[in-house]
Amino acid sequence: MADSCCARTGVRIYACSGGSNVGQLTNEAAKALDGLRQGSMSCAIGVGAGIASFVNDANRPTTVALDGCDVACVRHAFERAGRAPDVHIVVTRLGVEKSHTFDLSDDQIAVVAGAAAEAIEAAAATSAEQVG
Amino acid sequence: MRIQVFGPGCAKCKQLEQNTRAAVQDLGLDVEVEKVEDVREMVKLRILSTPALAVDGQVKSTGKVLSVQEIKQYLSA
Repeated sequence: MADSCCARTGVRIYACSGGSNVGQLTNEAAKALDGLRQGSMSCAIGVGAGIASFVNDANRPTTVALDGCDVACVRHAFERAGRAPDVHIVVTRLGVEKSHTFDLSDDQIAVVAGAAAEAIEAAAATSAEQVG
Repeated sequence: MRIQVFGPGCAKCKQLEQNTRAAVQDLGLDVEVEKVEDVREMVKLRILSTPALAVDGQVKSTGKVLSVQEIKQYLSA
């Protein structure tokens, strides 16, 4: 791996990775955010399946749930695991219409990744204020 | 010529920015070095590791603090 920088530690990112354009946008955005060290991508399906290691991780801050649509599978998986995610992004609320196509543009990925990065920054600032 | 340095703002990003400004000065170029911290702009250019350098919209390097000499080569090409 390249000698990257600006790592944000303790942030885990969960994408719904669902079978639609917006679901797949969450996956691409999560990979981009991981590459840019805004957090570490983890497994939403592991949380939903109740696998202990994933559930334990999901109960530690800071968790970022990327859902494609308002069905909100990732958020529900977290709630079943006992805790709401710290950051919740829904792609359709960012102006992307849901469809069963997979032609994802870099601009769309950027919109989702950018919204998540801003929310992560805000959550980090809030957390720092609470500690301070 | 448009020169962009990408990175959220850590020490390595600042070092690449400083090295880039030094390279521009050494070459006597009359251009601004633009610092980009917006993740959206990085993703649009498929930059997935920082710090990164782009010249005229073309990504030349990612995930590395280039030396002044290396940057001069990119700017002279």
